[in-house]
Amino acid sequence: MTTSQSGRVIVDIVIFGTIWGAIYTILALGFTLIFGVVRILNLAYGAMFMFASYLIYSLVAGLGLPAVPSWLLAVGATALVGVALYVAFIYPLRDTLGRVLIVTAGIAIFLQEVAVLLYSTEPRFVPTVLPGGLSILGARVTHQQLLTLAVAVVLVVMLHALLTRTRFGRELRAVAQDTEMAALMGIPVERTYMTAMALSTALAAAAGALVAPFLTVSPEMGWSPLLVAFTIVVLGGLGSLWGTIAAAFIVAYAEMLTAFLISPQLRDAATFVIMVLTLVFRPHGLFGKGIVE
Amino acid sequence: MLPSRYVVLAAGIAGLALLPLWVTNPYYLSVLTLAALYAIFSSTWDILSGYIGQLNFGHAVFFGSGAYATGFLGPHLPPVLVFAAGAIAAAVFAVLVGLPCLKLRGPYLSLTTLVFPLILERLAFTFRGVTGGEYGITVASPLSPIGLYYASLALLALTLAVLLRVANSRIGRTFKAIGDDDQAALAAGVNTTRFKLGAFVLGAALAGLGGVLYAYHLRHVGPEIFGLFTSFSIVIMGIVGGMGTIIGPALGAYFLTLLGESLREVETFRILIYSSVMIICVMLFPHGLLGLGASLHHLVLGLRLAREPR
Repeated sequence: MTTSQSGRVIVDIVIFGTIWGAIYTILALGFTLIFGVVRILNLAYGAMFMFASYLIYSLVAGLGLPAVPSWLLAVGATALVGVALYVAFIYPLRDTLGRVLIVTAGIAIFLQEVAVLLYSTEPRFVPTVLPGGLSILGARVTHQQLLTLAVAVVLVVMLHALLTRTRFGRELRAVAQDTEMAALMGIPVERTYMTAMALSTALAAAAGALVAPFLTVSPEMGWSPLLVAFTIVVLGGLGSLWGTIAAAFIVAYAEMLTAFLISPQLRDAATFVIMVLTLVFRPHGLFGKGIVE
Repeated sequence: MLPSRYVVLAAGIAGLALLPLWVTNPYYLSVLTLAALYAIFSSTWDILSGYIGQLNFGHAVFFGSGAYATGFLGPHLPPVLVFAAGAIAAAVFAVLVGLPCLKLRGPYLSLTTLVFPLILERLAFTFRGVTGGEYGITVASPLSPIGLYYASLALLALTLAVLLRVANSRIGRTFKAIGDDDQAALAAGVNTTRFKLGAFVLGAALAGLGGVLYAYHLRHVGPEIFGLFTSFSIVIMGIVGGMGTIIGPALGAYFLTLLGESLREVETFRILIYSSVMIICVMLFPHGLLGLGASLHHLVLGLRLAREPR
């Protein structure tokens, strides 16, 4: 490898790591909401990401709708599906964590096969909103990717404001901290759970909408985001925005390093290794605010 | 527990052994072989997941490593040594997966076990020089289809006998105690580490032997054996049959394999059936097929109570 080539690879790793870090932040924040507030592990989280991606594919490529309304429609519809799943399957089992885990895994597998029936296993492509691209230090970056980065940053800022500056955000954090005390203070806990579920699936859908144009849409696409989100939450801890952001970027850069330097096929294996190593050696996460008792 | 369990078990295995007298169609015979193999995988899964109560989402690591051992060593070693290698490979992976899992509980253990087969799947795809990549390795079977059926049935009988013996002994009661409250078990002087690792290794080694037969049966081993659905289908069979009973998961394996094959047109339908049956079970019959009677009783009782005027 010549110097200029290896320089190019480093620039690639930095740029793509940054873009994926932003997307992973959104994915992990959505996952934390349901994990930290409702205290359940929703294994159908990735299926919501997949569902939104196919919805956008159908709306944009099938019906020919413009991109932005399709995104909003897909995010809204996915949030509704999330709430419906919560009411029908998660709520009745909520006291037994193991059964929630199993039933959400079942839902994820079921939805994946529904996607296979409707769209076959053949990967689909969502047309980009912004064609063209530019070159940053020799690495080609599409406008779509820059748009994704910008939207991701805006979403994170908005979510942070929602959680810290509004009444709803205070209620949500109160429920996360002490459910019984929050209920005694008159906070409608069950409604907060449902809103958290809606917001969580909406974020999974938003991440799906953002990456669909530069990823192929396929039925099994939901599993990596689920495991990535779980890894980030384990690494960054619950309830810390900065911890989540830091962990999201660590995972994203580790994936890009593996993909560019070893093999693209081992990309998510890097995440899996980080997950196992963190659970074994730093069960309280990098910043001490861990989730594993 | 009652010795009658062993009598029922022996009668069941004898019945299955007589089946080839009527089932002469090679396709049905191969389905029955597959059902016996899945019964081995799900009952070995049950010792850790049902008895210690730690849901293992990655059982495929164990029978998959047995199957890959067959792919690598089959052409070079006599079958007896291949079986030994399959069991040893699975036991080695049981220690590799078991050690990090010792400190973990609940969903953390489940997701950790889930990613191990996925790591192996990615490695099998990547290092194609050794593993044949997505094409996998072709395996020559030393047994005829009927021989394979009886070998699978014999291994199933051995597996169920060993597991029931262990489950109904002091060790099995200790497993249950760890599952109920591992801190209390530790305080009572139980070496929980040794018992947990033991459950991993015992279940894995038997599953590894099954993996060898699985590779012979498919005449092939490829990365899809480590795929998500392979592991999940074992979990589904165990839950549908009834966790923590050894026999239940084996029944679940037969029930779902035969149901899946009888309705099968496309692989997709099989997976849809599996996942919906499991969702229904988890929602309505948490004790599976074996606990069906009790669950139905509860359900009817609940409906009657709900209807009663207040």
